[in-house]
Amino acid sequence: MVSTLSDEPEVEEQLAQQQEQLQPSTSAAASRDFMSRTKPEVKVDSDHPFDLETYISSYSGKTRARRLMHIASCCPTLAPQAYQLAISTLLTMRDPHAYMHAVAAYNQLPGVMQVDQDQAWIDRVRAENQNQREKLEVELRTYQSNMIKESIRMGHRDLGDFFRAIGDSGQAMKHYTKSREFSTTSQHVLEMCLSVLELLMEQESYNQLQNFVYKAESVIDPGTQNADAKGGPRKKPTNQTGMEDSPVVQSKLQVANALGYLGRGAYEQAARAFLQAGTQLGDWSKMITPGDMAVYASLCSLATLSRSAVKTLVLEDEKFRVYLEQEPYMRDILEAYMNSKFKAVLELLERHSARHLLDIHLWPHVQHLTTRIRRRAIILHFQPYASVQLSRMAETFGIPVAELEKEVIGLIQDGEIAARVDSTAKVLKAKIKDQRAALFSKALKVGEDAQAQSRKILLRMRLVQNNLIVHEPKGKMQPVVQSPTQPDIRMAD
Amino acid sequence: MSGPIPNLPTNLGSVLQIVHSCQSFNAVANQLLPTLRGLVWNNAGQAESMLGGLIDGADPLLNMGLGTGGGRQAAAYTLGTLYMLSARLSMTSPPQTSFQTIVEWCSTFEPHQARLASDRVGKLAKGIVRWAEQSGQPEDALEPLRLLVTRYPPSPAYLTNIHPVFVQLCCTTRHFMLALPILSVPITEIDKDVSDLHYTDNLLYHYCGGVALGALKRFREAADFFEIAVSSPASVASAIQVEAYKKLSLIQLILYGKTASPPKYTSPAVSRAFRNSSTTQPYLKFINAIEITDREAARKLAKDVEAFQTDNNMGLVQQVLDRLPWLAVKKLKETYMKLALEEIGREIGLPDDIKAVRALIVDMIAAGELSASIHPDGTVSFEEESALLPQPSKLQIETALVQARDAVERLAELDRSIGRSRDYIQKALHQRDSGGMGWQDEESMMPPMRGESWEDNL
Repeated sequence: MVSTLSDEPEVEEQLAQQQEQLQPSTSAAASRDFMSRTKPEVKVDSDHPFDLETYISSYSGKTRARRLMHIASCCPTLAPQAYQLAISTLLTMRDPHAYMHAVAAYNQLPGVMQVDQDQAWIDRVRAENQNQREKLEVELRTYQSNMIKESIRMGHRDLGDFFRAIGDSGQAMKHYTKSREFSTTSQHVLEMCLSVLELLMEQESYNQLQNFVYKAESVIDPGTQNADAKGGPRKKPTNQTGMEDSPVVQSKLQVANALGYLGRGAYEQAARAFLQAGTQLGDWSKMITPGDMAVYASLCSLATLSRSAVKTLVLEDEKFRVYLEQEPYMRDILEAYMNSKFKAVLELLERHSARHLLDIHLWPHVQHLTTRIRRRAIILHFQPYASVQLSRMAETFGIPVAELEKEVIGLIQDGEIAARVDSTAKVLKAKIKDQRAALFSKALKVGEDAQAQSRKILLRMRLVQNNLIVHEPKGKMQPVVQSPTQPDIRMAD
Repeated sequence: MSGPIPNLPTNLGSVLQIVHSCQSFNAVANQLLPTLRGLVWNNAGQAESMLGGLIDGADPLLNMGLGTGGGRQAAAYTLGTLYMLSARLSMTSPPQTSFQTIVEWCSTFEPHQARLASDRVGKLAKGIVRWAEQSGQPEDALEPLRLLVTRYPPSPAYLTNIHPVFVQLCCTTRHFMLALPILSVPITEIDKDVSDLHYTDNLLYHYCGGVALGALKRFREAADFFEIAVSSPASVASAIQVEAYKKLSLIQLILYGKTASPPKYTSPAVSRAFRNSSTTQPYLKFINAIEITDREAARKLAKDVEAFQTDNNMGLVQQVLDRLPWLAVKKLKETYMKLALEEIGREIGLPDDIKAVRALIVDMIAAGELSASIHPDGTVSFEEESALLPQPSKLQIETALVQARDAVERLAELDRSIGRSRDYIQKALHQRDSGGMGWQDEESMMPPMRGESWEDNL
């Protein structure tokens, strides 16, 4: 206990340092934090089941540790277990800062057995890291003095990998980008891009993902590209074959792109990108699992795509079925939605909210997506009716009348449903529109506007023609006194 | 007769002789005009005081019948009298000139002759204002200027440099109604031969026009005028444009409860000046408060800031505030069919004052802006929106059609005249010759650029 306490400031300091180093590459993440949101407090109980062991077992590598840390910070009930798993995961890696952070955080939990830091491990790993770093840097310098392009590239790449492993993403980014300068083939560029994409995804720097996806796609030869991966503009044919035409790479790029969209809140594009990713993702468990794909894609689709699009692109799509099988409850939600059982949709969403909120990429958007799905459901529900009792509607959705009324009014004010509320009788009534009168008045107005506009533009044209343009008063223009010889006498008409 | 420039006369008497000798328009244009121009050109100061002076103590203008009912006969000598009158009114101590003389000249002058010397007309307009101010009755200038601005241009659609002078005077003397006949014809023509214009003339005319229309509560038209002032071509922002922008924003708030961005072709310099200038900051805050319907903040902003007062915009700001409940009720009507008065009061920021809410609803119904009925139990039911839409009459539709057809014809004619204009043909030919793809849009041929600045993005 005493030792950990005394260690704490140091840990904090190192963390701060690490944060600072991260700054250049994670400024995007910082701006994202603006619209967020403190981490939610997630309840896990019999109504909101969540099996940590099964969930985390499908991840490996850094994301496993990061996800565990996220879960631990959001969910008090799972925190001890999550921290323990995170610590044991981190012990297999080479990032002592992260390890110390996890241990310190764990020890701060109320009512847990304190664990001591494995100081021997830390010292050993630090020494190893130091050695490796020196070795790699010496190597790079040798390559640089020999001026062998390919070796320099590999030197930078290895350093990038190394820094990424020890958790210094700023340095890693620097070396990855440097390696690009020494790339000679498109395959090298692609390799670099994928490394950077993984790094960015680890760091949750969503804003830069698209950039690197484009860069990667621009070196892929459109001629040999696999039919599996569609979409994504690409150019610059290079006529080279290699790893770039593998569908795995294509899928990875799509997923990275989709994650970028999701991170920036562009849910519709995210949905489409996830759905295009294809099945050839292979094992990318250090980043994302097929189950994640199913969840992300389904939620984004429900929130943004039209009913028919959800049907054809999500539910009936052969490729996507593979993913949906990973998360059967998602299929239930989709089917309930298609059958207009909105109460079931909302209940299922609530029931699995823990799964969503504890996801490292999804949690900032859960609230938003749920609201959007609910709003869409209300719109769909009201569509066939001329008038609805708000109380009946509230029953269908399983939410209180007052809340529904607020939601409905919001929808009316946003122009999403053409209806009005009778506040005294609590009835929602569709607007009756006199199409003929509306058309006439609209046509007349458009005509007037167009004429007024053309008049204004004409005047402006005349002003320009006559050079009546506001300009800097250069020594105040004096009214020109006309000389009698000026031939501007108008002819008699 | 188009001989060389005759020897310049040395006194007003001989000028008058030449004036009287030039009977036909050609003579006026080819003989009298060069003489007068020559006079002013050679020695401006002396010529002006000579032209504006008297002959042996007698007023030559009066002798010609101006001011005594003989204006119609004097109209043949418009150019000469124009020079004399404009010279006289710009002197520091002009000879006695009566209101009748000026009005009679303005109501009888011959526009064709006057247009020969557009610079003197502008001078005359300013002179009239000065003369009226000196005599302590600025209103006296209104009638002569009105006559001038109506009779001088070839058609009311032409802008002249009398326009801004007249409308500005209407505003300063608060005779806004007088400006209406002029303002109701939109300006579409500008010809430097008709009037020697400066860019400020256009800005000032449309700005003052907007002020006059705003004072008459014709906000839609006022917004049009301010918009023209704001969107006039500019390489740097003019102070008039920024002022117009302020008023335009306030009027948009009155009309719609929110501001609309000015047309695309507005000069970026103007938008930038409006956004960044220190004098506009109170406006931006106020606009923001209104747009997010934060009534309290808006009221506070309107009270605290002196900027509105110095800009003479306090009246508009107050009207924006007065207008808020109206707009709020209109918004409610979109959402609700039936609502209790208490609830309306709560929504529009008048809680616990049912009476005021009731009065407001009644006012709105009376003004034709709302179609609703108040029930005895204190609920208001709003009628369907389309009930407010007027069924257009056949006549209305036909007028609209005729107008549209006219507009199309005008535009087509303009298109043709541009198509055969020298500049256009030269440019087009030049483009076709150089490169062989002259008629195409240049940009469509450029490949889209992307991923060029590789390192910069990292």
